[in-house]
Amino acid sequence: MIRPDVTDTEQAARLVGMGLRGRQVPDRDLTYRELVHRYQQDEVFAASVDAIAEGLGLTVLDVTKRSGIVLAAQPGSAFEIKMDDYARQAKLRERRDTEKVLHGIAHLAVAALSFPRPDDLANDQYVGRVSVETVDLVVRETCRLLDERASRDSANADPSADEPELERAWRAYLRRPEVASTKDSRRNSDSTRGMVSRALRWLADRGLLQAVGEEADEVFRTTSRYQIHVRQLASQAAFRELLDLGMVPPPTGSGLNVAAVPEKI
Amino acid sequence: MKLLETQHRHRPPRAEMGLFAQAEQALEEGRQAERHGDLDEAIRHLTVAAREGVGDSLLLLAGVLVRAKRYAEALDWCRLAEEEGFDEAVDLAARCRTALGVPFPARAGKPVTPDPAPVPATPAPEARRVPGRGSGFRFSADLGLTRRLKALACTVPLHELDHHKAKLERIDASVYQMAEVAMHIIDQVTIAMDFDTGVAHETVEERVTPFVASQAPHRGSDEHRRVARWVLEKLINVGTVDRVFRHVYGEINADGDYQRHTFDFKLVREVPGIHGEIYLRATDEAINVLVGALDTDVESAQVAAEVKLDNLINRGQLADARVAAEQARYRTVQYGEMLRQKLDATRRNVLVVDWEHELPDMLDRALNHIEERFKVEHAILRNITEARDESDDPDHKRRAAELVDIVTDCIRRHAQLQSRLQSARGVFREEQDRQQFSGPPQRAALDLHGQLLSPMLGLSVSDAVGPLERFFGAASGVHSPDTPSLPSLVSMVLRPVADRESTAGPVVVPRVDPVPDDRRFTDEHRRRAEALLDLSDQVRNLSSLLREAADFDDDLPVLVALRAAHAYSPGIGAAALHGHRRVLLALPADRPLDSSLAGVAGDDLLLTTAGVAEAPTDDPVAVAKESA
Repeated sequence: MIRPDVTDTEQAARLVGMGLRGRQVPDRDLTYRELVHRYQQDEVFAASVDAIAEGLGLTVLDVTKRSGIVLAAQPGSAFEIKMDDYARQAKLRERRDTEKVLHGIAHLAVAALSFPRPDDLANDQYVGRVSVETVDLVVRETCRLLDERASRDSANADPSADEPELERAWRAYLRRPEVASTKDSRRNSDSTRGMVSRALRWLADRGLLQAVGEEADEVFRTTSRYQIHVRQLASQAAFRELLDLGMVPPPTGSGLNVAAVPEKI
Repeated sequence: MKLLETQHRHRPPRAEMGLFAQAEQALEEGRQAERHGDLDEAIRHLTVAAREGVGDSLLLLAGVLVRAKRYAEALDWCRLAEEEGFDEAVDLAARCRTALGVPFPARAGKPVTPDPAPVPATPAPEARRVPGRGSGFRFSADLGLTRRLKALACTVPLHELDHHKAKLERIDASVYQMAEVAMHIIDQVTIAMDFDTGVAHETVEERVTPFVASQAPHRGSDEHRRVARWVLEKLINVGTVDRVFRHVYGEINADGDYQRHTFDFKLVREVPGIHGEIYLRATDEAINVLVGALDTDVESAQVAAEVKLDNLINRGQLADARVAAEQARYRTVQYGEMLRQKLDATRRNVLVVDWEHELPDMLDRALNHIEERFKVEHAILRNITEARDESDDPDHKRRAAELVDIVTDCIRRHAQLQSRLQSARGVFREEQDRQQFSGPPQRAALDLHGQLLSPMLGLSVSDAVGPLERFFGAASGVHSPDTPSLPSLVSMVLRPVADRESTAGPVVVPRVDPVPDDRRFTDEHRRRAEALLDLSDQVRNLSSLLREAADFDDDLPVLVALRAAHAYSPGIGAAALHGHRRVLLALPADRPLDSSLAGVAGDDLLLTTAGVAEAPTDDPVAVAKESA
C-alpha cells in the first residue's frame, strides 16, 4: 500500500487556506512565499492544490508572487458571496431589485474606475486609484449621457407610470441623491456616495483594495488580487450574462467611439 | 380738357385724405366708446380705423375684441398688427391662441419671452380640454400641454407646504406663508450658488430667517429658524430615499392612447463639496419655477431677458429692469451649470466624452455666447451707469446703482466661465496623452466602462440584476464562513438555559427630596398684598400703601410695589380673557416715592381698581380706560 505524502497534502491545503485569508500576501509571510514558489515550480504540488481547492468548491484563478493564491468560489459553494447578503440592510420598503442593482452598479463602477482602459486591466503592474467621488461622478456622467440619448430618441422619455419594473437602471441611479445629510448630520448610506463608499470599504476589508492616506479621504488603490478577480472572472462572467440577455456590447476600441450605443439584437 | 385732367389728377389724393381723416375720426370715436365700455360700438369704429391702419388702431381693435371674447377675429387682427411691427400684439395673440386652444406657431430664431404671467395661468383650462382636443392639432398641442403640466407639477411642493404646515409640531404655523418662504429659499440658494459649490444649509437658514421673522415678528427667533429649516427640508424632500418629487401625468401618444408617465424632479439638491461637506444647489426645475420662464430653452431665454432689459432701461423703467436683470443672472447661472457638467466629464474620462463633435461644438457655442453677453452687458452697464449719474431722483439713482451691481455680477460670472472654457482643450490633450498614448496594449481585456458599465446602466432594473449580481459575486473574492472551534461550539450548545425569573424583580421606589421653599414671598404675603391693593374704586397713592405694608414685614412693600409697577401697564386683554372682573390701574403721581421706605425707590404712583366691562364688540382696553 502506497501511503500518500501527508506533508505535501498538508502544505497544499495550507496554501489554499492562505488564499482564504484575503489580507495575507507572500511579501509579508515567508512560508506563504515558499509555498507560492513551490506551486510555480512543482507541477504535482500545483495539481494537488488545485484538487483540494476544487473539492472545497473553489477555483484557483492564479498564483503569483505579488498576489499570492487567488481563489474564486464556485456557484453554490460555502465560500460564495451573495448579493442578497450584502444588500440585506437595504430597506424592505424599497423594491429590492433596485437596491441590488444600485449596489451592483457601485461595485462595477469601482472596477471600471480602477482600470479605466483595457490596457490597465491587462497590465499586471498597473495600480489603479479610486475615490468615492470619482466613482460616483463617472457613473452619473454616464447616466446623463444615457438620459440625453433617451430624450433624443423618443418624444417622451419619461418612464411609464404603469410599468415601474421596466425602469432603466440609469434612471434609478440618477434619481438617487449623491449625498444626503441625516438628522445627526452624518452621511446617509442610502445615497449613491454612501453606497460607493460602502463598496470600497467592503473591498478593502477583504484585502482587495488598500486605503491610501487618511481613512477619511476614502481614496483606495487596487491590489493585484483585485485585478485578477476582475480580469479573469468577474468581467468575463458579467459579459457572458450580457450576451445571454441579447445585448452586444460595442467592440473594445481605441479612440472615441467606445461609448457608442449598445445594440439590441 | 386741361382743367379736367388736373382736377382728375388731384382727385384721388383728396379722396385718400378724406378716407384717412375719416379713419382718424373713427379711431377717436372708437377710443371714446371703449372708455365708456360700449365694446360693440368701439369695435365698429375701430374696424373702420384699422382697415386704414391709422395709429395704433390695429392693436386697440385686437384688445377690444379680446375683451369682447371674440378671439378668432382678434387673432386675425393681431397677425396684421404683428406684421405692422407692434410687438405688443404677440402677447395678445398668445392669449387668443390659448383661449382658442390653437397651437403656437413655431417661430424659428425668435426667442420665447420668459413672461411669467401668462404661463402659469393657462394650464388649468387647458388640462380640462384634453379629451376633446381636435385630432388635427393634437400632437404639437399635447407637447405644449405636457410641458405646462410639468411646469405646474414643479409648483405643487410649494402649495403643499401651506397645506401641511399644521404638521409643524408645537408651532402655530397659520401666520406663516410657507410658499413664500420656499420661494425665498430657492431665491437665496440660486443667488448664492456659483459654478463650483452650492451654499451651506446654515447660510440659507440665516438668510431666510429675517424674512420668516417679518411674517411673525412677535414670535421667537428659534421658531423662525425652525420654520425656515422645516421649509428647507421639505424642499429637499427629506424623509424619502430618493428625495424626488414624483408627479404622474398622462399623455395621448401617437396611437391616440392615453398613457401615464411619471415625472421626477427635485427643487433643492444636496451636493457634496470638495472636502466632503454638503451643500445645497437649486435644480433647473426650481430655477424655472422661480424665474417663471417654464421649460424654455436656456439660450433663447437668456437672449430674451437681455433684450427686454435693454428696452426697459431705455424707457427708464428701472424697477422692471431690475427684475429682468435678475432673471438674466439666473439664466447665466443655469447656463454655467450646464457647462460645468460637460467640463467635469471631460476632465474625468476622455473616452466617454465625444471630443470629435459634441464637445468642440459646445465649447464654441459657449465662447460665442460669452462674447455676445459681454457686448450686451457692457452696453447695458454703460447705459445704466449713465442713467445713474444723470438721474436727479434719488430713488432712481439707488435702483440704478443696484442694477449696476447685478450686471457687474453677471459679467464677473461670464469671466469665470470663460477662463474655464479656455482651459478645457488643454485638459483634453493632457488626459489624452495620459490615457491613450502610454505604452502598447498587452493582452486582450474588456473595456469595463464601455462594454460593461454603460450597457448595464442601459438595461432595465429587472434585467440588470442578474449580470450585476454575477459581477459582484465574482469580483469580491471568497467569503470565509464563520466556523467556531469545536470545543467552544460544544460548550455553547450544551450550556444550560438560564432559568428566568417569573417576576421582573423588586420595584424600586425612588426617594424624592422635598423641594426647598426658598420663595421670597409666601402665600401670606400674596394674600395681604391682594387685600391691600383691592381698592374698590378709591384712589390711593403708592407711598401710603407701602407704609401700610411695611407694618407687616420688610418684604411685603416690595411685593406691593411690584404689583403696582405691573399695574402701570395692565394686561386688560388677558384679564378680560380670563374673566377677571377687576383690574388694578396705576398712573404716575409726578413725585418721587417717600425715601424712608426700605427696598423701594422711584416715582410715586396713583392706584385704583377698575371694573372690566363686558363689551364684546368694543375694544376692552378702551372700556377699561373709561371706567378708570
